[in-house]
Amino acid sequence: MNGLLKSSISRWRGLVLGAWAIGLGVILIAGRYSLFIRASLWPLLLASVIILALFLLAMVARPAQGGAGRISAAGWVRGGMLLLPVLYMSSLLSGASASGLNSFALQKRSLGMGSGSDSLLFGGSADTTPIDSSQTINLGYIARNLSRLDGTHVITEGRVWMDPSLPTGKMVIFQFVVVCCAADAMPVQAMVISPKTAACQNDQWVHVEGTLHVLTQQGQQVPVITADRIVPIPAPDEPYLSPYQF
Amino acid sequence: MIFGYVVAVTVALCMDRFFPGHSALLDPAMAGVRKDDDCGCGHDHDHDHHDHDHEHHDHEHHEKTAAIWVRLAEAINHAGDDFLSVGQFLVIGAFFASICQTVIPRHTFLLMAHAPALAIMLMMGLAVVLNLCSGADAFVASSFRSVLPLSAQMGFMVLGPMLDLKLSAMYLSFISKRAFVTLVVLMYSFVFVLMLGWHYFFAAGLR
Repeated sequence: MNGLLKSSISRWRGLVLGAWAIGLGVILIAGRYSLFIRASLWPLLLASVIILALFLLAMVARPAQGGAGRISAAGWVRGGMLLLPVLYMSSLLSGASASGLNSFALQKRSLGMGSGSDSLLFGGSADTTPIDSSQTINLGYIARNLSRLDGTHVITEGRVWMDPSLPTGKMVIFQFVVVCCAADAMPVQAMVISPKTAACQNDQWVHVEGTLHVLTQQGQQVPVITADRIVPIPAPDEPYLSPYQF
Repeated sequence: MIFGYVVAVTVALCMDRFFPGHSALLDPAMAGVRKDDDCGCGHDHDHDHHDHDHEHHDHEHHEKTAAIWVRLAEAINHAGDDFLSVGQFLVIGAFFASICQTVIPRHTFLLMAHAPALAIMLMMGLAVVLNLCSGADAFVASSFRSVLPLSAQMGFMVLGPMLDLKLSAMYLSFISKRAFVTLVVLMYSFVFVLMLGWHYFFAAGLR
């Protein structure tokens, strides 16, 4: 800790720590943490709230220092920078960010319709247990078991992306796979063919039932579902998949 | 990990050669050379610092009153100070990295990455702008598994923990601009040459 920092550690320190602790606490209680970290990692978030509270308590118990009476200009700048995450936390409670990574993120992060099936194999090989076509399977499972599922009836769920380059009657459904946090989120996706796709809207969650076929496009295996049933559904509590779920 | 270790040690030796002693540092105090009146613990010390030994809280006046919970509070205070001093770099780095994640489509990098050398260079550039933590790096790199050679993915993973936006801000806060530029050139060059050599001699075609 150098002298420069010491001189600016004053009220803004408490303000930042308090704002972070309250922000994370609200996100934790409201269950919105699953929008930016893998849901099962909530204990880490709880630990961070406890640590921030400890920092605050220790600061209150700390003897008064010079310069603690007012916030310096440097203190405002530092405090302002450190309050940026609080703005992000508040955006998770309502508005566009509150629905998680959407079709805009898909367009930025996707490397092609079939890229997910290859990159997801880092977690192990394809499943070998018999497939129950009456059960809902997630898009990650489909990506990992493309060859086995070719020609079978599948039931799955995902978010809609109405790719403007696709002809009428086709759309993409997708879901993000998160290992640690939203920074490493990778999309898994499938093409859906049905006249009913015209009634769907971007970023809407849908339940899809149909027959899956595997096509090869530009060297990638692409899952294509010829759907006989597409039903809008509410957004799930946990919008992302974990690689341990498939 | 082996590549990272080799690059880190080699770059450190080169930096020591180019900037002997503490000449790369902006503030000599960062090298552990402190003034007596600046121990950094936030307390006034009106006594001599003989036998100081860098244990700032073993001072005599502290020992008289320091119950365990007081020492614990001081330790937590120090942790809080360090958290805030590093936190600003993390926040700014994460802010710009998230802007890059949001604005730059990843597939645009693929259009320019047909040659291995170009692919490695581009992935190393991507490491600088996208990296947040080394834990997430592996999974981001794996998303390129189907379209880029392993050497390019390795370049992303080896350079990322050494050089990204938040680390650049941290470097610039305690080393000179000249030293920073030298450090960046050295790290980028060593990783690039190592990955290119590995690609052509050991891993050509691997994904």
